[in-house]
Amino acid sequence: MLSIKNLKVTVEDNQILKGLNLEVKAGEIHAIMGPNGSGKSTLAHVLAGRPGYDVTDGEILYQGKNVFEMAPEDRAREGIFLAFQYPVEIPGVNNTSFLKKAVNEIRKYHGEEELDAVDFLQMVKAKMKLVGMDPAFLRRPVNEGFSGGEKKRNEILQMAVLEPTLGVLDETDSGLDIDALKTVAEGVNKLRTEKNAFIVVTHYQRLLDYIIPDFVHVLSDGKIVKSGGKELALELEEKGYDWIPQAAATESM
Amino acid sequence: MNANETKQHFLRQLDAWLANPEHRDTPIHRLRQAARERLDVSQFPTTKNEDWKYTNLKPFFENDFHFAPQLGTGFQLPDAKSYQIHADAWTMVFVNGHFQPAASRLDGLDESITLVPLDKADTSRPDSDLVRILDCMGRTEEDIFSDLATAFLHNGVYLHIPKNVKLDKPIHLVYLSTDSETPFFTAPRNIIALDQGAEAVVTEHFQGAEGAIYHSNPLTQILVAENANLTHNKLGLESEYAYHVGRMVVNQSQDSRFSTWSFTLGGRLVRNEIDVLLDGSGSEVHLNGLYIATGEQHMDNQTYIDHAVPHTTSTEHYRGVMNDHGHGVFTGRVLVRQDAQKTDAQQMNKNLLLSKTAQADTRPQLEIFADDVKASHGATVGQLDEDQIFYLRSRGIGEAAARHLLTQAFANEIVDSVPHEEMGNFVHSIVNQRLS
Ligand SMILES: Nc1ncnc2c1ncn2[C@@H]1O[C@H](COP(=O)(O)OP(=O)(O)O)[C@@H](O)[C@H]1O
Ligand SMILES: [Mg+2]
Repeated sequence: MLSIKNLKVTVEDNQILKGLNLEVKAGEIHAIMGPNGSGKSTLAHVLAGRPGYDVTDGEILYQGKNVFEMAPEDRAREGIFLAFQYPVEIPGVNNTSFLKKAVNEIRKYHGEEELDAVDFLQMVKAKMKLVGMDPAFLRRPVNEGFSGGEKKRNEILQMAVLEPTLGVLDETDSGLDIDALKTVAEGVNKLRTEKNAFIVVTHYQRLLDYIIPDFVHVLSDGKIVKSGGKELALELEEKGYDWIPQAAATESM
Repeated sequence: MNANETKQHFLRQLDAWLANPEHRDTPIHRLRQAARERLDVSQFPTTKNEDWKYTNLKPFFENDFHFAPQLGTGFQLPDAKSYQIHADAWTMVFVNGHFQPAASRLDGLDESITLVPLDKADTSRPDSDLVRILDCMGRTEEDIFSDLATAFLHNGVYLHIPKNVKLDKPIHLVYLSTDSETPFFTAPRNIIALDQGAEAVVTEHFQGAEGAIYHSNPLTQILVAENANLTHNKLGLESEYAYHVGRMVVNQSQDSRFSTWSFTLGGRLVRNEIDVLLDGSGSEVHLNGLYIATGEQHMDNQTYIDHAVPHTTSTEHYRGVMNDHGHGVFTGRVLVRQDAQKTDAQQMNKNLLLSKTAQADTRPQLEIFADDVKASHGATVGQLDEDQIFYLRSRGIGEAAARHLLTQAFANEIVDSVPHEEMGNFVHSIVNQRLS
């Protein structure tokens, strides 16, 4: 589904990603862990098509298509979804009209009929239940005045509504208490099918108690320096990142 | 024409009109003549004048406006659908400065309330309320547009609501301008006086036909007595070739409340001046505004709030959206006099520039002479937030749609605050058209 080869990315003349490789197949969950500043969010943003990143080398194929030739909205319409580490606030745009617009633009793109207000509301309310969100949030402007946890839940709500093929969660667990964390994990687990895939970027292993990954990758200094199964997360939790010899790890890839 | 030639052009017409033998020696005519005398010395402002620093009247001088010509015999009333806002409102309609009884709806209005075209109001006695109000304005004003308005005083509306009367329907004053052979100007004068404890919703609505070239020069005087509450809208839908320099002077007594929404959504060059005197403790004023300048449009809002006594409150929230070569100007002068302790004055002006050639100038001017005061102001000029745009795009919303959504959201912060639903809906649809 997703194939990233030798990805090199610079931001304002600093090279952040230095030859990153990653293969994700349908039905899989990949966890990406790594120290602060290692380039996890950069990878997530480049996947979603955020402006301001220079891809100097490498490629990303999503369902066989070169994502660099797709506008961010087209990537979303084709099923890529990024749950942001820091979701922005959008005063003046209420959650309902925002979500409805998103759903219907995507439906239009696929030649499907747009949802009317009643059907839309019914669908959203069901999804809100799924992620444990109060329907009162629908009337509020997107993320404005939301607590950190509420913003993260709102990201998961959007993901539940848009039902992506590839969901990328960028530290959705940071700043969440254990109950919220469980709700987020449950949301992901319920969305999970054999046809979609998730990349879960996290700092802590505790999320991975609830979302069981098929693969764990360690991102350090712009490269994936070690990959393994879910045990790797526990090992990282115990020993930190220092024990991973970068050169050796690179060789083993 | 230059500034002086334009002035002489206005004076020639004025002198001819004033000499009309139909004008008798009434108190109103004396006010006109006094204003005419002041016009001998006053000049049109240039950008050297601090108050007009960002508004150049040059395009205004290029026109040769004629005073409210009679409507021709083939004249047809514009379709009410084009300006109707309310399902049910007391309505007065003027076309090119002339009152249209057939299009107006005043039947059923309680007899205690005065709502009449100015030329039907009783102005024969110099001690009548109306003459006194007109007169006090005539004496305090120094600027040329107000003097022109008084010297050409011909029509408008006198609204008086007596003590404790609360109107159950809005009042809709409509000033339409149609396309005409020669560019023309009108100077509507509106007097809105609420006695103690009275309540009303009043909209002044200026609308021009597509392609019409004219100048609107309205002057509105508002008196809000003790405990009275006036909600007001100024709807500026002038044509793309029209000029509009309008002034509104508000005088508030103890515990009174005045809230206004000013929408400047049309016009080639528009200047709205608001001058509020908070003259009674407990009085509060709320000024809101939205201006959308595209093409070559120039829109200037000049507000002045005088906190003259202790315990008064003012809030101001103006927003501007500028595209193409549009130019928005906001000046918010707030005076807190030495005695005006416990004043609460909040001001906010935000401007959104959608093109590189669009321009916004914003000037908060707070002059505070009291020491126990809560005052704040904020002024911003910026573009759409790229992070917000990306966020929307990442959810499948196309770039143009994302920009449109964010621009609308910016403007809606003002539109959504309109308390009257019919008005809110009407403005919403025009704002949407203007932004798409
Ligand atoms: N817009 C930016 N401008 C400059 N530097 C950036 C920008 N975004 C990220 N960086 C830098 O790139 C590096 C990787 O950041 P990031 O991808 O956010 O790391 P992570 O998500 O793993 O903590 C950091 O050194 C960060 O300072
Ligand atoms: Mg990050």
